[in-house]
Amino acid sequence: MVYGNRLIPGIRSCFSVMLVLFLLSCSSGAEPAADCNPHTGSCTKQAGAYTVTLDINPKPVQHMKELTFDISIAGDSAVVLPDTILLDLSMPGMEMGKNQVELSKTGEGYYSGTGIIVKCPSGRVLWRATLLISETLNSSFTFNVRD
Amino acid sequence: MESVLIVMLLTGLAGGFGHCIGMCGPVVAAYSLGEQKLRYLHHILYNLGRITTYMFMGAVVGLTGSFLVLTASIEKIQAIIMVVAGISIIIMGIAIGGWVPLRKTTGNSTWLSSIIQKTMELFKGPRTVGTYYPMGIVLGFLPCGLTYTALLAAARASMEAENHLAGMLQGAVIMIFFGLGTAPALLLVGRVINFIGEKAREKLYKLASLIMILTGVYFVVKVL
Repeated sequence: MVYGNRLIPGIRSCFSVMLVLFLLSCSSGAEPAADCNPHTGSCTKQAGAYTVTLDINPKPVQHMKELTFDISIAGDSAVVLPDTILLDLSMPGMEMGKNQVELSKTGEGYYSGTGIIVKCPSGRVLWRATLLISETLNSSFTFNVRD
Repeated sequence: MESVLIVMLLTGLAGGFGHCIGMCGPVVAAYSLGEQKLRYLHHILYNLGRITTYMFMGAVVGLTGSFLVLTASIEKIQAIIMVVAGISIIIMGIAIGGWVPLRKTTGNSTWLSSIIQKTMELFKGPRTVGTYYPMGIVLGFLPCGLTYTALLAAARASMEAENHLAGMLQGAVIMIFFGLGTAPALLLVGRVINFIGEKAREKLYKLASLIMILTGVYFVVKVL
């Protein structure tokens, strides 16, 4: 019983530490650096044998504005690309819910679609756009969005 | 539709623990500290208020089919709520942390000290049960990236509805499920705060009140 009484303050302390950590932390992971600047031009990444290019308009790319996402995929012409692909928008280190933009085929290897990057009141502006097609073609672009 | 609702519930649940605890935790802490008598009722009422606001916003995006129409029209209201909430949290933090020596000011009994004391007592709690539901409704409008994403999903889903009324209902139900998903995390924060409040008031109240004051200042500064 005495041992039990000693244990309770320990649990309380753990709760306290957890609480402070919860309250102080808005993020749940280390923030990576941006590897793309969509405000001045397009961004290109190598995904295996393919070259994937992302372009976002209008520029500068801002939160809470309707944006057009254009993707071009160049590479092995023998591979049949789907009619629609998904572009997943997420915030590194912060759970922001599932925000996926459906991009429709506009030509061979060209896709386009509209979506919105929401604003986080925490002030964080780093976003990641991940192209979801297949394991070999999935590539992501990390960039800052302007207010 | 069922699959969308399950996705939204799970989105709320995951977001509640991964997002809301960090962003809204201080708000929940603010109203939980100083409330010792009500065990769960105030948390349930606060969350019901929040879900009511989400339902309303879901209905609007479902009816209009536009997320941006809603966010543009409530932008100023959100800014006002954020400032008022920020100032309230600062005052609650000062009151709960005992940073203003109330007993000493009572002795002076000047009109200023009397106003300060009354204001502090008002914010310190305990509050009436009827306070929490409207508080949840108002604070449900606080700008939140996770809620925006849920509203985007509600707008997208309602675009496929047969007519505007169906879209409105669909948007409302989607946001109810999202709100329900976020509730467990905030209920947990509230209960942990109450538990700590009961067991180790002095030091933790000081620490929590400092976090509240900083959060309140942050809320105000973000708008100004």
